[in-house]
Amino acid sequence: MLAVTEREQLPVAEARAGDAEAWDKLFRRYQLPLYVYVFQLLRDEQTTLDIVQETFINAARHLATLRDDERFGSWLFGIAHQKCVQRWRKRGLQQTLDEPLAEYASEEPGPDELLLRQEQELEFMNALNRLPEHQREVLLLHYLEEFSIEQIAEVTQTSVGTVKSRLHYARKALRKLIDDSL
Amino acid sequence: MKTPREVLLATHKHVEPRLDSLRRDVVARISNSSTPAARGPQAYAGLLGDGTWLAMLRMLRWHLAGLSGVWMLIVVLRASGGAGDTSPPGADQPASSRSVIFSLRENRRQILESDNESNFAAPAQEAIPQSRHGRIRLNQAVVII
Repeated sequence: MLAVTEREQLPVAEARAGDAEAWDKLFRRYQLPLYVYVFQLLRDEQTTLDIVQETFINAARHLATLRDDERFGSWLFGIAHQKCVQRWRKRGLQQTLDEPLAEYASEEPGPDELLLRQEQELEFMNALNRLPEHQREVLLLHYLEEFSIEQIAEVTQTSVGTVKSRLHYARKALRKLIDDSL
Repeated sequence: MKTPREVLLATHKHVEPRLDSLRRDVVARISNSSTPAARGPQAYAGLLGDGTWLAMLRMLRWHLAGLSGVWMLIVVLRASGGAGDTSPPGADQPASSRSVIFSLRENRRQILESDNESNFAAPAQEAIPQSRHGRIRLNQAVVII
């Protein structure tokens, strides 16, 4: 089972020293979560692979700028996020499906933990894809890496308050969409 | 029951072989670029052996740009400092040979004029320089008078 562990020991210092094996470990750890994050935002496999590759190359070039090694994960996702934003700008893409979610956004918060039965998995993916980008991105960062609110704010370059609000409404909207579909 | 993370990762599991290949490619690039052979003297030796000075200049472009910037700054500062200077041009420079000759001629003219003032008896001869011997005799004559 793949799970995000608390305080992972990542070989960031070794990678900074130019250890190829350390880079391999780091990339192996993040390649699939990064792919999922980018793909769920852009929905294009080739573009996603390109972005993952560019993210790895940029990380190798600019690792010296990372001040806190424990923040390697959110720093890496931040690079990928910037590349997604660039692609959105190229496409002239704006957030979609804002309006249908307004009714869900005003509802009271429900339980935080989400566990999915096998028959709910497809509904979960469909519901996730129906969320607007700004809600989907915070939800993906929360689910994939269990980043803190502050880390998500760093990755998405928004305020902590905005992230809290988006995460709150995104969770509620997702749960409502899943429940309605069953 | 699965967590959203597990569902998300499982949904995209099929792409892992491509990601593995991509990762290996990037790591190979990193290890190539970080080997001492790629960064050390051999790289420079190859560069010089080919005679590609252009490549060398390209490597030093930031140094050259910095030096050019410093020189530009010096020129600008000198130009702006010179604009406020009220002293005559060349005042602090040694006199040229032409100006030395000119001042010598001027000195000579003034000496002649002073001679002529004292020797008021011969104003017409001012234009014709006399021999030193004759001039001395003339002066002696004036003293005698």
